[in-house]
Amino acid sequence: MTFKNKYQPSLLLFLLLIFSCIGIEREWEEIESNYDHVLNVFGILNLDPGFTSFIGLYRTTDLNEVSQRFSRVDTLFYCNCEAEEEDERCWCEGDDEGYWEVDSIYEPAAIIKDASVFVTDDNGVGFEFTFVENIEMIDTIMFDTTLFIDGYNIDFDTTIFDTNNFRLNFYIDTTGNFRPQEGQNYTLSITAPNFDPVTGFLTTPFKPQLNSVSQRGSLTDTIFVDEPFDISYDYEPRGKALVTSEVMLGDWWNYNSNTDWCGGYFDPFIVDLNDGMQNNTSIYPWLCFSDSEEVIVKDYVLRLTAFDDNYYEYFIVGEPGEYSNALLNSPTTKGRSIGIDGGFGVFGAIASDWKFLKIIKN
Amino acid sequence: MFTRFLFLFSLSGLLFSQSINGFVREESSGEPISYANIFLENTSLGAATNRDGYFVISDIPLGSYTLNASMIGYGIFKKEITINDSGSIRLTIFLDQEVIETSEIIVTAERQKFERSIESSQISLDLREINSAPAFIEPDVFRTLQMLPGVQTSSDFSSALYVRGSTPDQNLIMLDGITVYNPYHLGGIFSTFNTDAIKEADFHAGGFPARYGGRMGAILNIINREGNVNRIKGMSNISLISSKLLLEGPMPIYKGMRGSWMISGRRTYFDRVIDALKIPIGKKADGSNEYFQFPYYFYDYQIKANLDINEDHRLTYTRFYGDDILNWSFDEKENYNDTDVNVSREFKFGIDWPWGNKTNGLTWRWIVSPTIISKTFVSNSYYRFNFNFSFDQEDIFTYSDSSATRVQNIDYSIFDKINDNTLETEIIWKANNMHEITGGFQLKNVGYDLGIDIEFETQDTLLNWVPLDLKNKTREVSLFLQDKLNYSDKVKLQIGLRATDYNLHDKIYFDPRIGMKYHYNSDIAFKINWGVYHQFLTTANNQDENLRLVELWLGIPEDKDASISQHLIGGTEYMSPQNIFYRLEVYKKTFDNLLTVKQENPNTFEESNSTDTTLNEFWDTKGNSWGIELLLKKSSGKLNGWLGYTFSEANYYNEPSGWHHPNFDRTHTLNLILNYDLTDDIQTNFGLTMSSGNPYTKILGRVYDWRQNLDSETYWYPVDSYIIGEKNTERYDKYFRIDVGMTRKKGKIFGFNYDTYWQIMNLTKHLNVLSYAYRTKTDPFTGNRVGVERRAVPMFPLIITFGIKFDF
Repeated sequence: MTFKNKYQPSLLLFLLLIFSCIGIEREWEEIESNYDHVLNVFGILNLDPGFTSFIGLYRTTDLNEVSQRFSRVDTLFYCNCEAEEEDERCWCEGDDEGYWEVDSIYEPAAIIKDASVFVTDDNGVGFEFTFVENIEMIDTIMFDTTLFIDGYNIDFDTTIFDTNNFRLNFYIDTTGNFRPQEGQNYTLSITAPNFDPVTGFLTTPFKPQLNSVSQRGSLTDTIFVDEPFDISYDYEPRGKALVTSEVMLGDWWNYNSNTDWCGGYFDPFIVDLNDGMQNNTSIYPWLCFSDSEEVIVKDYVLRLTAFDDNYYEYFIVGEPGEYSNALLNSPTTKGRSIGIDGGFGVFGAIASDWKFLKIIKN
Repeated sequence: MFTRFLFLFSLSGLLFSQSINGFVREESSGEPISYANIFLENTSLGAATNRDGYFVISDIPLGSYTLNASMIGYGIFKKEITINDSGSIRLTIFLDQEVIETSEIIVTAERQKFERSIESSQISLDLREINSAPAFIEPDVFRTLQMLPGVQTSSDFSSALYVRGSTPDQNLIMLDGITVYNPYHLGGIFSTFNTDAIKEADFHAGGFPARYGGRMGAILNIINREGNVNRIKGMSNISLISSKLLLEGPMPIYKGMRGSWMISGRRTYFDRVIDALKIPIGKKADGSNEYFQFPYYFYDYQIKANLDINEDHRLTYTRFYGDDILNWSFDEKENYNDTDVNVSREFKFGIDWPWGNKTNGLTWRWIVSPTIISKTFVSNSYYRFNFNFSFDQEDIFTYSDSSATRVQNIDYSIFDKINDNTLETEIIWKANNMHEITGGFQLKNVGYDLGIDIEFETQDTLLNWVPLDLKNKTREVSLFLQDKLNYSDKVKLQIGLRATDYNLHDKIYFDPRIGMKYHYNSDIAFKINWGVYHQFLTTANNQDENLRLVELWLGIPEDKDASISQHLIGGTEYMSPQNIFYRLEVYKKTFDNLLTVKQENPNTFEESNSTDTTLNEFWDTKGNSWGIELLLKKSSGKLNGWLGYTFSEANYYNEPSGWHHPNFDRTHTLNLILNYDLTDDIQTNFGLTMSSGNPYTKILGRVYDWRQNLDSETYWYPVDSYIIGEKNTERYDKYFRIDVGMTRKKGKIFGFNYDTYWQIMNLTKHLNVLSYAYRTKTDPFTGNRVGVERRAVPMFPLIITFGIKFDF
């Protein structure tokens, strides 16, 4: 027998047997990080009356750090199982007499509560911002806090909005004396134990004026879906603004009305406030394809938000996506510092104007 | 006076010397033999055949000589020649394949190239070398090239060539001189070239001469076989993925004109096998069985025909056509009743995605005189990539007294088309034994069409949106001139200049190229090459991608300069008496005016117009690379192969990333290819690759990144983001792979000869990391993030493949 007749089949069989298990085993391994942490600032000066300017202060965290830590228990209300009035009763089981409804509050592990934060204006006047936990809301505009269900009037508790996910603990001016003005410079300074100091700088935008809305060639406060409309706004010395909209679907339990609704939506877009040649723009909402012939009217809010250069750079331009990995299921960043020196984050300012309209679909 | 002197000098040359020219071909098939050695015994006069098998020995004094022709693997040819004043002698020499022990020294192609080639970094691989390297399923010329020093790969899944810091789009890939824009199948896993049809692959890793232009990286010219001039022959090959057929033969002789032809084709068969198996996956609406259909296949075919009009004129036609097709569709019908209405719905969803190349070329070779050869070449290369997605739904509402139809059709397509029409002429003039002058021009018209088209249709509306519409027509007109100068017995020079006019720019681009070779002795030589290289097109692909399905080509726009690179290469070569070739080279390359496509910014609200997308927005990029390469190559004998080692570093710079190593950069690479003839009919091959891991960007920690909501409400919310470090400062674990294979030849069945072959890739099942997958560890009770884990995504596992090849 020659080599080929005698050994080749055996060699093949041997190889197939040896390598019958073809897969390569892989294990999950924990990643350790060794990173010098820095402060992460989220500061917004809001020029709109009734809106709070705030500075949020955090730090970077290690990969193996918990993201949220237990902070405290928040007592919501007492449930009296033996209440005489029917509308004071709540959910009880068995022989319960009553109980306290509590909520476990978690806070970001990265939060810094013991820093010294100052915002100084052009005249050198400094305003100390104090840490305040559990700010209930940033904004109450257009949030109807009264619900009417099955004949019952219910006050919608907007603190529910402030869930664990959105519970934002901020430094704010608790004296009420800080009122940011348009076109002014503001300086931020932060010192926190065990971190390098951080500073920030911005120039506030000018308050925009959303003047009018017109459709079908005439001014209107009621617009029709599926038709373009125009908005006009004032010229400002500088700055850009974002145009957004929202259809207030409101009575969310009214199933038919909300599921039949479409129209009025468009992608937010930027306008140049200091373009003297053009201070109006046409909006082409997404087309609405609906079978229903029912006429529905909703509240409609148009908003024009001007911002300073820092806010524009951070939120509008965004970060170039120079790193991508399809298998990494969270966003990545190299750490942005916009208007901030010595740490990450952003120090920006906004000022807004609104138009409250009606929108009709037929 | 000077002119008369020149005339008398040349006339005297004519009177007292002549030339011998002709072709060297293989006896059995008539294929030209490159780098065969032709010399006159007891003289220093000799020449090597070029790629067409043509040679010329000029300035031969009158007299009688013994002409020798030899090539390793063939018998020696001898003929008595008498040179007189009757004119030059034209010969056609046929060499017979044989393996005979002889005491006479037979010169290998390697020796020929060593003695005559001035260009650095050049390798020619013949079919035997391409087929003998370990292969992934079937032999592939690109995967063989990846085993050479200076050539890297980004992963096992890609056959693309990263050469000395250059990305694949910087390489000029040609098939018989025609540019091929997307030389890959199956998303880059295979090259588009059928090795059965290849005669040789001529590869320049850098420092290439002035006759090549338009690219900055490397040149690969794949030469197809010409076809058997004596009889019709064929071969077929079935591997795990495709079946191939090749036919070749002589053309009928007509009025003294002879020729040959070759046709080869290849197609994957997996889809056909699945169709034939009829695997049921459910029922259609009409109750009939629905069978599983494999949605993908590729095919390619090549035709080459040569016609010798007479001994001086030859026409060659070349055609290549290759396509990948991904085609999948799904349709469904249903009927249901709602209140007062019956609804009949038909729903169709489909993906149709062909991409591929089509080339045609016609070459006219004219031997003007024994020392002047002219080649005129006209070609068309068309590449298109056309991804179509369609969704069609038709609802018919039938009421008691009426009916209504609702139609919703969406068609989305993204396409890239390139149409390249080229006319070029090259004239080679072997003026005398000192000068070989080559000159020519090239006119290249390229049309680019890159776009996105979206159509939305309802029963009463038709909307068409074109978010991207980039059309470009570019023209490159190039002239080149080079002189290969035998300055002395020891010193050879090659000086060339290429000038290109690019129609979108207002200037002429000059590419000087200089090379020098110094023979220290008959076995040792030193080389140095320097050149400037411009490129007028780029790709809109993400350079970070590990898996590249298609190339998206664009011409360099008006507002950007042509990309430019400079190569400086120095090296030493040693050809041992046992014909083992040693080469040590050092290179330095610089790149400028590169364009890196901007990746999509998911956060931006930047105002956009209908023609701007991130596909045509670029970061200006520059870079450099340098390295040391060592090559040992033994081309003959029972044991042959090569050992290559590379130490290299590549650096790129753009604004978002700063200076960084590109994804394909590997610092150390060691490749070993060995072929051993175990017996007359059993050949074994062995391949080893060890290299540094590819670079990647490390995750360092976490930070809150903020997103806004500005409509009726105002709030912001944090997004827990990973902080990444500087780009590509970490490296995956080392790469290691061993491949083995065996070919058993000379089987016979039903009168056909057959060979069987098998290959094992990654014999040791080493985990080579393609990328990492990440997952967040969360506390099951609180849902908090408590850490990050990663797991390697592997490249090739152990793979066993086999196939069979028939000759008839």
